[in-house]
Amino acid sequence: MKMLRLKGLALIIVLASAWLISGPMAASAGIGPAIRVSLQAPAGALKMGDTPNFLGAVTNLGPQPAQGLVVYLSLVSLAPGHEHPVDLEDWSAQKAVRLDRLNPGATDYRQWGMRLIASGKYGVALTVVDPRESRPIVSDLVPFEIQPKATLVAGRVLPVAIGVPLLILGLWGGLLVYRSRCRRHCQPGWLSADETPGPSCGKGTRPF
Amino acid sequence: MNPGLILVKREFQEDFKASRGLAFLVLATLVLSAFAVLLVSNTELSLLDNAQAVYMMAGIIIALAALVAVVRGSDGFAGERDRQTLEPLLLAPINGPGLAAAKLCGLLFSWLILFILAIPYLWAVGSTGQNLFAAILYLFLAGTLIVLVFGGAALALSARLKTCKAVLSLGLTMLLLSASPVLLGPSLRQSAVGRVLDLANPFAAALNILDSVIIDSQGLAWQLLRLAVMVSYGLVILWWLYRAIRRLEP
Amino acid sequence: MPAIEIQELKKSFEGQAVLHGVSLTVSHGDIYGFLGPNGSGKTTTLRILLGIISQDAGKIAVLGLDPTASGPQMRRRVNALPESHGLYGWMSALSYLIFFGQLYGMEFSGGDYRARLQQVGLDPDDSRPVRAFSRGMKQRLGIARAMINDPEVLLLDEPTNGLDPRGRREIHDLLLQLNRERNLTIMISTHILDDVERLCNRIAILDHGLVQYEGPVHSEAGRLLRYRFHLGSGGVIPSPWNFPGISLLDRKDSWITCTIEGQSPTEAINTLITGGLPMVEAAAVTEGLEDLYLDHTTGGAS
Repeated sequence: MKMLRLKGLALIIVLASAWLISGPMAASAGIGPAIRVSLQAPAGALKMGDTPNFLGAVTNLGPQPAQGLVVYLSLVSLAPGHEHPVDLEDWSAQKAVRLDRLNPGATDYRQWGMRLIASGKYGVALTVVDPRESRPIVSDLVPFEIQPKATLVAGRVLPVAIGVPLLILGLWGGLLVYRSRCRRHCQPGWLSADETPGPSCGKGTRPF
Repeated sequence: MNPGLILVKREFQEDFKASRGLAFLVLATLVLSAFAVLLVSNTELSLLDNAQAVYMMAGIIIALAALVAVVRGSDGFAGERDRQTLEPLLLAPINGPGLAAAKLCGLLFSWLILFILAIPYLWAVGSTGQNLFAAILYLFLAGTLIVLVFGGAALALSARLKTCKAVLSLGLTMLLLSASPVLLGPSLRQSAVGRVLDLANPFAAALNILDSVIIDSQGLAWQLLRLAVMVSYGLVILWWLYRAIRRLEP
Repeated sequence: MPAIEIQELKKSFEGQAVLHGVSLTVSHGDIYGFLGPNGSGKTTTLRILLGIISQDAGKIAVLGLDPTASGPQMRRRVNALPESHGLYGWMSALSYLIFFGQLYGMEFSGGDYRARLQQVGLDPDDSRPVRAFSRGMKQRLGIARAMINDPEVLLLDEPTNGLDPRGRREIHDLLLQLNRERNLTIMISTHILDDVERLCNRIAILDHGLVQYEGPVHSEAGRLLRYRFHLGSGGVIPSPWNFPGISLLDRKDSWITCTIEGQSPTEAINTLITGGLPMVEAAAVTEGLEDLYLDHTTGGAS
């Protein structure tokens, strides 16, 4: 009899524990689908100017189809002491999508392209908003580092920016000097600033 | 020698011997140099992707080309009229269309000089070489069409209106009207009306070609519609110029 | 076929009629004066003759060609000097002439161009830009340009404007020489009656868009012409004065003033020289032409 009571008590404790652990999930499973979201960084080193793709996966773990899911990318700068959110305007043309329907057990895989326009330490995450859920579901933050790259090489720009106008000014000045010398030293028959198409004045000229 | 070629030669000589052309080239290269230095010195701009920098530089060059076309075209006949040098030209055994063709060739020659001077700037800002050759090629194509459209229109106005001042005012207004939709924000340009304006505007067509080729790496097939728009404008302008020049008077 | 023929020429600008029906004829070899007050339509007529503006009505033929229909062809044989020189200020005289020579398709050598400049009194080695030239020099260069295609007809609009007397005389001599040597037909639009007197054999006076008079300069039979003659040193006036048709009016220093009737000035001069008067110079007293001009015009537009 004593053994039977002890077994019954142990069973009650186990069931109660199981209920405590799974209760909220069971409760929510009863209300809507369960979504899992993940994001994967591209392989290899990243540098400024690259246009890598981050692979995102949104999985419907629940028994019901998920509808009207909004999936969007978030980017933060993780520079130590200068952490801040980053506006994706210049980084990505595709910042959010809407999934009309995600069937139970189905996964939506999507490449999230980005143009890496600034160097530094960053973290990117994929967030899913289910209209029937009170909390968005966020993937793990995927950290990555963008190596700097000199996009505009001052060594090329400055010589051109200074050299080309100087070249034109030099040509202009040279032309002015040449013409003023021609006016002083012009001799018959020299081309100088004029274009005399033939021999200089001599016999056989044709006046009117 | 063909009278038209004589006139083109004279246009070239007037540009350089009279110094007006050299003065403009100095100004144009100063503008390009200032922009190039700005790109290097400004931190935010210097982080731009090469393609973006090349596109911005090409856009400035197109704008300068359109400006020189309008200014030179305005002077084409109205300036000669103001300086009273038109009448002796009209006495020469060359007809109106021949005169107009010579003037237009003079404009295109000025554009060619500007384009050649602009190539080093494109090379300087396009260090990775991404789409650099395509940028240069399409810049030449779009720039030539822009000069034909705006220069031809300015020449036509110049043939009809009496003073250079009137032609220049009208020509610059026309250029500003063409350029202004480009200044609208992306969202406005994406509206139905914005897209129609964008498509029907030769200036916007030129910039969109450069955007498409340089930044989006798109090929000729993508540019055909825009090129068709610009060529259509060019043909209409040339027809207008032909009609205007037949009634050219001193 | 006349060199220039105009019949009932009409032209309006912005609703304002300028030419109401001009008719005139210029024969080959004429030096034809085209007179009229400001705004009478002289320049408009010249421009229509050159084909650079078109007429509203009327018939025009220059060397048998319609200036509107055969403009380029006609302009190979005709040229003009407009009232404004139309010179490119940045060019030198030689390069300006070469430019137009090439434009007209003339196959001249460098020496030809230089000679043409010298003939109008310009220095071909002067490489200054034309904007530095005096008005007279610009006028000469304009004439050189107008003669570049060796035209058969030359139209001149105020060719001696702004020239000093010596300059005007030189231009006159040049035009007379061209007319004499090449039978060049010249039509001169001018206000300066002295020019007309010296150069022209026929004139038309235009006023209010119509030709008010067309005919010889010294034509009317019985009309008294007045001339001044400069006698050489030692010139003694014969007494009695016995020159039929030539009446002595006045003497001052070595100048005598006479009226001539029933003969041309050339005949009168020959008569006086043959009669022993040492003639150095003759000058018309333009009262005759001036009267003619004033009789046929009213005040013009300013």
